Amino acid sequence: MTGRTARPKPPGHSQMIAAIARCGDRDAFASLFQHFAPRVKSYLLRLGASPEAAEELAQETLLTVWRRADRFDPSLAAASTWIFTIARNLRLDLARRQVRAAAAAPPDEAPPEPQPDALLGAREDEARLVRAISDLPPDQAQVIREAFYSDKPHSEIARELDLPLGTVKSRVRLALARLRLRLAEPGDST
Amino acid sequence: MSRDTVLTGVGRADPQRHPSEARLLDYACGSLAGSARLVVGAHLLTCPACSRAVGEFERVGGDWLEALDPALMSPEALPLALARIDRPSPPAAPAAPRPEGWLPVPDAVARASLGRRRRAAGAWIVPVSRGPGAERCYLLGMSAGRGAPAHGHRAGEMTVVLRGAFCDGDEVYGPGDFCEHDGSIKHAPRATATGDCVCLIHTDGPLAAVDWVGRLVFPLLGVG
Ligand SMILES: [Zn+2]
Repeated sequence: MTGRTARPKPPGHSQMIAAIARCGDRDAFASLFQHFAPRVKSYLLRLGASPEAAEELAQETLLTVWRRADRFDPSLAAASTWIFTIARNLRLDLARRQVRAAAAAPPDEAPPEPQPDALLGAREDEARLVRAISDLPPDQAQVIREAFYSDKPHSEIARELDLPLGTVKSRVRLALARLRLRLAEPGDST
Repeated sequence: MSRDTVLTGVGRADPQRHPSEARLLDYACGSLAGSARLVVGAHLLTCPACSRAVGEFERVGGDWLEALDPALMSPEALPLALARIDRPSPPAAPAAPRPEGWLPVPDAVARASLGRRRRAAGAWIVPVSRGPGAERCYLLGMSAGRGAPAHGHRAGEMTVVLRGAFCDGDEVYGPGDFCEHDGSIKHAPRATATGDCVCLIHTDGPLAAVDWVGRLVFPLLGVG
């Protein structure tokens, strides 16, 4: 289980993107879609998107992978990292358009609605993740969950947990490092 | 591009002042939005160190994505996607040219820079975006040796230097430098004598002039 096979986690995703860039490889696209679209949808659901919006953004994310495959540089980022940033940016674009549309209607004042914690702790059955997080000291685990599963700036997390911002930062830092190590281990599919 | 086209006046393009690590993490997670994101993004274009840090955080984001429990997609999701990739992609909007003598800027900023400049008292302003709420983003130009009128903030402010340098009290901010203030500061930034200075600024609220010059000038610039 904790064997030290140093194989990259998702074998071949980078090569699939390269095949799309090289020759518009539809099979490669289909494989990437099957793997990443449900995860991107999951990510967006966690941030409070409706199932329809999450599905549509997952579609757009993978469509963007197809269109920009030639700009992917595997020496700079893993496929999952690149796709994460695409999904993140599309979500921000959508939020911006919604803000603009909302601003067109009522006057200036309405503050952005506080996101209910629809995001947090909703479904935490990802075995690997749970395993990785459970390895963290509880204080770090809490901070890291807030940081990635919610949309809150770190200053707000600090306020809510009643911690100095510096403490939140150092916990995030520690937690990220440990989590990175943990997630870099081979999954339980081996 | 050569360093000469990037730099004017001050002899360095490697930023010395950076966003906090918390800001960079917020950027990577996507929880920093709107024009604050634009200002941090402009800094990242000029700062290899911060880009590296953000890249590290994004890698963690990629790991998260990889580890997430897959959501159920609708049965027609893949056929739909395969049909969509056959359609021609919409033509990308042509990138706006970078203003001469500026550091590289996000396209939204380059486009905004073409807008009409409101001028007053050795300074000019071009709005970049407005809202949500009281949030404002604008480009501020200051002629060499001239400055913005003294002002306070009712809310936070983030600034990145796109050209030249300005001083604020004893501090000097050069090309690419990032600075952030909370609502408590009162200051009167001023371009160094060596050349014109341009900054991209995000504020959470309007400026409050602390003297009659500001009270006169801010309405002209549209920031009061
Ligand atoms: Zn930096």
